[in-house]
Amino acid sequence: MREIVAALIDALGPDAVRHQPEDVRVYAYDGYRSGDALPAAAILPNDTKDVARAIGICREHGEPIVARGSGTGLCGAAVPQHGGVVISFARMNRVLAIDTRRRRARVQPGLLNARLSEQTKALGLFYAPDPSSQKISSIGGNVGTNAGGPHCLSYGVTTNNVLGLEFVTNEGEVLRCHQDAPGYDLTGVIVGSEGTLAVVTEIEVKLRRLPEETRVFLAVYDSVEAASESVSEIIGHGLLPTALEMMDRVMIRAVEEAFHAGYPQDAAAVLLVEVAGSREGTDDAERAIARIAKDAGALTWRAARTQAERDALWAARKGAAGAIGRLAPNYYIQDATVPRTRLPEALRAVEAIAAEHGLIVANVFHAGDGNLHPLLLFDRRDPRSVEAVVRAGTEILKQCIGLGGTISGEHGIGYEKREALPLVFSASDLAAMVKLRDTFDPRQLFNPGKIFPSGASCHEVQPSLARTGGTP
Amino acid sequence: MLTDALGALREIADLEVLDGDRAGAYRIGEQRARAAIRPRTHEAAAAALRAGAAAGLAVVPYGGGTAQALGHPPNRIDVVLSLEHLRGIHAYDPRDLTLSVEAGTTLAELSEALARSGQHLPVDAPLPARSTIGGLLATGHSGWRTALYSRPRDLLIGLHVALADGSRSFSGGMVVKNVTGYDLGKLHAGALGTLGIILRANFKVFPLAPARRCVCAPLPEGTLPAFLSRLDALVLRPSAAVVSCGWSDVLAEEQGDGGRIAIALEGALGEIDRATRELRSALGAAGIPSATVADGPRADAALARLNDLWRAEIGGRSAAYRVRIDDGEPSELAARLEALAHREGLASDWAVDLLEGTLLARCTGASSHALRSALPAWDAALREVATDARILHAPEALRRELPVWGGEPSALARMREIKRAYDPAGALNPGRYVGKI
Ligand SMILES: Cc1cc2nc3c(=O)[nH]c(=O)nc-3n(C[C@H](O)[C@H](O)[C@H](O)COP(=O)(O)OP(=O)(O)OC[C@H]3O[C@@H](n4cnc5c(N)ncnc54)[C@H](O)[C@@H]3O)c2cc1C
Repeated sequence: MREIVAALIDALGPDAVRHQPEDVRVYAYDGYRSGDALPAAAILPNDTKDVARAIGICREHGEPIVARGSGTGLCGAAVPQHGGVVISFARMNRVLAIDTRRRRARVQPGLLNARLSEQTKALGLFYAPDPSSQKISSIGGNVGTNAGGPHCLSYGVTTNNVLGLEFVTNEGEVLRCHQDAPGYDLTGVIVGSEGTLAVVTEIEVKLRRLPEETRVFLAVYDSVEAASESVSEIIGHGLLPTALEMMDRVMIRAVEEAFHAGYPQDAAAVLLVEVAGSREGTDDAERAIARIAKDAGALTWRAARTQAERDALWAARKGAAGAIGRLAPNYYIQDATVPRTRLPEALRAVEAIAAEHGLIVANVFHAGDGNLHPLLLFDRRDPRSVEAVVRAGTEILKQCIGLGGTISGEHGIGYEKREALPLVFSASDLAAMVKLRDTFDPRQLFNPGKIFPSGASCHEVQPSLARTGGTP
Repeated sequence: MLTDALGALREIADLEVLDGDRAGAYRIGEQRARAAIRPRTHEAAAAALRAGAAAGLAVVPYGGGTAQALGHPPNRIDVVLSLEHLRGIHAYDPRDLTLSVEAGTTLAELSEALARSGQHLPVDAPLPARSTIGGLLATGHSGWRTALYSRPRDLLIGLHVALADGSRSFSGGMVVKNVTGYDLGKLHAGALGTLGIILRANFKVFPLAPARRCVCAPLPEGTLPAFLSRLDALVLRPSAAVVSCGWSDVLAEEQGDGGRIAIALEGALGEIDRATRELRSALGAAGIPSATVADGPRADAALARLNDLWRAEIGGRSAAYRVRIDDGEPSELAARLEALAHREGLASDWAVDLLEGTLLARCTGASSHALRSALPAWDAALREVATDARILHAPEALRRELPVWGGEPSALARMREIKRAYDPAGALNPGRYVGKI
């Protein structure tokens, strides 16, 4: 048994430490890939003290430390690339306090996202960020990646809904920060830092009142172009629905076959539109958005009449990625964002790039935010299709940057896109970011090998995709 | 030494260098600058910092000068860096609801330009004709509509800064959703220019609500608790809900024994009509009968007057605090603090954000001397109950003596390391920030 394992068992007890290869293998991958190395151990702390103790031990032994939520991430951020110790938050999964008057809650990082809104529903409150993975991803992981979701169009992403944190530093010290407290906004930089600055042990989040009225609509189009024109028009008119999602033909078919939710199988594209708020406000918003959608070429505009119908449409949308398994053994999902007036161009580019590489692409994405999710279908057993997917993916990113966009809207940089970071930022921009990391983590023990380019070439992405298939 | 350094600065292209009276027009609290520089380009700003670093100059960034009494008085002031020439909209496509604006642009200029497209940047700043975008971000001010629109840091989507070593750093982008790289904009927002000079900021902007209304009423003593229990049930969350007491130098609105209440509503006309009905009945049920209603520009003006409370200074004899408590009702705390102020012989004005729970409190003495001798006792009593109490303005002598930023944050050591990493010589706004960073 390695010395570090013995030390961890000594400090946390045998029940909290996994170290046999067959036991730690499940901590070596995420939704994007599996790592090159197995971690020396995975620990399951019960509280912040356990976390602090474990970090102290890792530091003494010079072992990398990788915080882990549910491992649903899509950029390899939770993969222990250089081995070390994985801290799983599976046991720290409670809601600690709810303040209804101030609309806030304190939670532990391992709490699954959807659980929080389930628990606050009876109080008439909900937690807004809702990644499609919300039933399985953790709030700690959401904080790690600054997760988004369909409803972030109107309520903001994770960082806009996190007020404060308790975190453990590299030295094993337990500290607190709050958006509204004096001093540098550490909350703001730790959220989205993918476990490279600090390990988060407690999160204070904003809650919101459940709207009086929620309406869901389906606008059907005969081309992706027309649907994306509609999105640009809706936003351009200053209308911000609570959610504005798009699916194209390939995606609609896969989703309908899997869920039978009522999406029209022959449509080239649909927009899923939600407006919520007061009755009067939703009346107005519905009228205005419906008119624009029709003017921009919607063939039909249909309201979901019942709660069951609404839930079915949403469940299918949120399950879309899973449904794609019916079409191809593997997919590679991109996450670029473009200014919303450039959506039609961006989608044309995606289609052209896929066609050029002989790939099938399925689109399902947060259209209102300009956040694309082209899923490039492939078969990892076929090296040529892997190569095509990697090339097409990079070209899509470059095209989106050319349109004024960026390479990741919500999934993160992690291992996957770190070599693409210099496409967006200059050497001096990156130097300023690395400076921050070095103040938090001078020895690079927190999730090493993530976010920042290694100096290694982009080709690394290719073998990693081939190994895991990139299918969550 | 300063003369030599100014010589070096005069060599830099697109940089205006001022000394003598023209520099003296820049005031930092009660001090006057001896030299000032005004870059016309981002390159010139960065080059000036590089030259300043070589000469060991202490640099105080300067926007509209409305918040230069914030924080501890600086340890040293060699040169003021004014953002005055870096103004204007860099990029704005209303159809994208995004904006890129130079740091020296005033909020009023910006609001006017956006309003032409029916949009706004929903940050509430006092003195918008002077407050600059860079200053607003740097001070981390968040106003009365925070509950609806969040803080400026949440509207920020990209930031250009010049660092102390003369390098430049950009983070974020021009898209509304972005997790590419560290979110360094959050680090500079609220850092009071101690980590770098904000040059240009990108924001998401919002359509102006079609209907804006402000419902005001004098508050009879003791009626607030009954109203608070009804506030949460309103169908439309108000964009602001403020109780204020005193402030006769700024507010003309009639006031009852318990002050006055102002509720701002934004939305579709139908929904704010309904919200107004609900609000009237909630106020009535709580014993607050005589509400008046202002619409459109008059509602905007009412909100603007409330914004000005944050910088309402009374010639060298007032001190203002921003207070946050974790438990209890801030309006009850305000009343207690008022009684304490009276005991110390100070006049008291206060305002509470009912949605966020933030309290703004001002104490005024009969003279600056009276304030100086009475305030420390009040300050100490306040700190026993507040989670966080910061001084927004006070005479310099008091700011030297009192814990301007409140208690030390648990992560202060980490903050010092961050400062050391970005500004090792301590050149930017030295000594003004939390922990005298
Ligand atoms: C089907 C599917 C749909 C998805 N839909 C969306 C979507 O709509 N929007 C979206 O944004 N993402 C989506 N994702 C991606 C993924 O779910 C999110 O990135 C999510 O935030 C990851 O949470 P997790 O708990 O799985 O975290 P993990 O994958 O375990 O970790 C993610 C990162 O957070 C760090 N981390 C975890 N816990 C902590 C902690 N306590 N302290 C510090 N760092 C920590 C990890 O080190 C890692 O860098 C989807 C994924 C799948 C499989």
